[in-house]
Amino acid sequence: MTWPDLLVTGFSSIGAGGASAGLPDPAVRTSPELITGWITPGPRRAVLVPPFRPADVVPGLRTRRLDRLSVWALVGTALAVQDAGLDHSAVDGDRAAVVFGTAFGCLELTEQFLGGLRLNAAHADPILFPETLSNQPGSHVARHFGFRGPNLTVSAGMASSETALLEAASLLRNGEADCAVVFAGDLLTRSLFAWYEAAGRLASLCGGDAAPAGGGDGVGLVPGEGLVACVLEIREFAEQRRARAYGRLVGGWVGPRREAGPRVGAAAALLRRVAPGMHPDEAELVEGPSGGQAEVAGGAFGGCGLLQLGFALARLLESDRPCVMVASAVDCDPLGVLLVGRDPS
Amino acid sequence: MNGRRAVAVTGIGVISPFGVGREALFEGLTQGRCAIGPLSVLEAPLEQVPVVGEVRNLPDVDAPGGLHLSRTDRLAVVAACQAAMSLSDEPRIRRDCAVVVSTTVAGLSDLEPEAAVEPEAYYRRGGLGPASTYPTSHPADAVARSLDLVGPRFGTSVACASGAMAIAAAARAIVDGRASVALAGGSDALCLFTLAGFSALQALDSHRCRPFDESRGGLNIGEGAAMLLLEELSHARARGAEVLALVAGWASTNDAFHPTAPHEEGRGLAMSMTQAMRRAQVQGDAVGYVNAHGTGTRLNDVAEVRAYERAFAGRGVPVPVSSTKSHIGHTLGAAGAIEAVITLLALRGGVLIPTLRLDTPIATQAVDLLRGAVRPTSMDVAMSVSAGFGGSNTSLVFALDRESRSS
Repeated sequence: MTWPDLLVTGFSSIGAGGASAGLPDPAVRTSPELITGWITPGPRRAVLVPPFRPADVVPGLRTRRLDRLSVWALVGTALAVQDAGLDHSAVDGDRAAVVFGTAFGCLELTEQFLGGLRLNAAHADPILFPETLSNQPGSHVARHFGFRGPNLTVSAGMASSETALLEAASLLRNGEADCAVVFAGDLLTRSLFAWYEAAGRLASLCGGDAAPAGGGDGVGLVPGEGLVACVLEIREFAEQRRARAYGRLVGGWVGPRREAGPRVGAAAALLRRVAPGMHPDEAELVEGPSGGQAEVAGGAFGGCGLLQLGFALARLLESDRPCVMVASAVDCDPLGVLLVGRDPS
Repeated sequence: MNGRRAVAVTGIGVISPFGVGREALFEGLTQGRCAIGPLSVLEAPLEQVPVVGEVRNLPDVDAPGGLHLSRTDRLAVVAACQAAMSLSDEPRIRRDCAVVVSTTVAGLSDLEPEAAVEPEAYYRRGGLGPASTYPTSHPADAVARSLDLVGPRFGTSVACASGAMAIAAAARAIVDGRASVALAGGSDALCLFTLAGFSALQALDSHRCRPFDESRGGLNIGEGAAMLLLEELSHARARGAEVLALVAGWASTNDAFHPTAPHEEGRGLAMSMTQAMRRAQVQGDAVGYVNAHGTGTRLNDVAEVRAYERAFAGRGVPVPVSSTKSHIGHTLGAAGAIEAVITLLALRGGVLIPTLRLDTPIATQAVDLLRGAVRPTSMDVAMSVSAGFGGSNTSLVFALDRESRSS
């Protein structure tokens, strides 16, 4: 299934390097850092978002009252919208969609509320409870920007962001919106990190001083956190406002890894799933990030796929092929695949 | 259908406080019974023991290899197995079948507070499995793996509009050609997390709820799951499947107004209804029944009535509306899906199901707030309306398939 008329016009990311507008730099590598935010059984590492001043991007006090994930949602959206040159106050809010992809939702607040039940369930916090719902980051974005179109929160593990992007594409193609802000992200908390460790899912470089330096070891994952956002528009809408586009979203697919073909990462097999009619020479495959980009650039979180989309769009500027295809982390199931193409206009 | 692919409903699965299956649900509703009663399936150390709609005798479900199943997962799998009974065994179809399952609590139904406070200790004493069910994608994984379906799958979590939004997302995937068949619905189990949360918000009625009544005092939480088997109409006809109805229209909007309260005039909700009818290419006059969100809270019900007045303005006779949350409680992430099933049953059965305990309806000229006895009727189109915290709204329009009826 291909979508010739959908353009990516804005991009932003919040990660270990802070918050920034525009496409991510594929050359930047981030080493997992020592966790100091909670007590660990020994030195443990993950890719974490350092503190930054959200009010520099979203002026006023609104971000002071929100949890980190919702703050990132507002900041990430503001940066992507700004990068797209989109005047949100001039947009018909009824035609603007918001789609949020997340593997774990509002985990920090959920833990806070759940933990509180141990002490006194009869006097739980009424302000906190609604904020634990997974769709609250999306609804904060809707309120702040006046986006009253479809507002969807989806979850598909480490393919959550590819799923969110494909749902947004579907909304646009079906005429339910003219433009969509798509963002995907997760927080890393003590209980999640401890779960990865207890389940034996951690890459060795996360666990202790003796761990090897460099990329992930292909056995486990490097937990990460952050949020990535983009603006997706139908061509007519983008052209009407003379927006520049990073590229077209040509197609995508999310499904069980075993369905991708006999050789995971083989361009032809993946391309058959995403764009059955396309010749393999037309698309360059950005290799799956086993021990590579996703883990080292951002760690494993629900926004990995959008980060990969950013890398693909950046690669598109240099590639001698008209399309670039990216696949999500090799250790992840389901597998997410996105195909982007150069915008001829 | 405007040249677009049409989406058919070819399977229905449901587990509700009335029991397993659509027959049990329809019988309970049409007999005017109420399945809401004192909480017994879990301990809730709240100031008052809440009255709830709980599923008793939840059937055992075999967990697919390596997968831990929460109560929410088990409800979803029970409903999905029924809905999938008419699904073809053809490998190509099972390979393409999408799975979209909504939930708000997912595995929180099985997690203890210790998981958040002392996670390492909790995991050591066996909490790894329950914790693995926490993601809202888990019920979709559980359904897909239990039925060996390998198409696209994901979870949706959009508060109490989740179930309807899952159905809309699956219908869209079929229209798009991303899937030819999809299982879609929602599941949520009762748990301390939500009971304590709604209790803290002072949103629970200590008695059985009274949606749309002037004396309404809040909602009752319920649990359950419902799944629809959806497929492209020509695909269903080609394989000789019974077309139960068409998903003729859908639309989602956001109030962009308040974290928990609906827009006072029901602006976003009305817009979702208007857009869904437009997509279905039907006028307000054609809608024979609306299954309401109708929670029984002070703010929701009056805003919802205002929304019907807006969306059905100009209609010749008041639009028939009822809240079946008065029978089974508010099943949160499953509500939109269970109420879609109820809407389908009402449409196919030709009945208008009343709201229970509706003695003094909210004053309105434009809305026929159904009460009293079940009314027989004849209709071709019915609508299910859902809303939720965060300003989420979704409306679904179902229509009988005239071609299937005439044949």
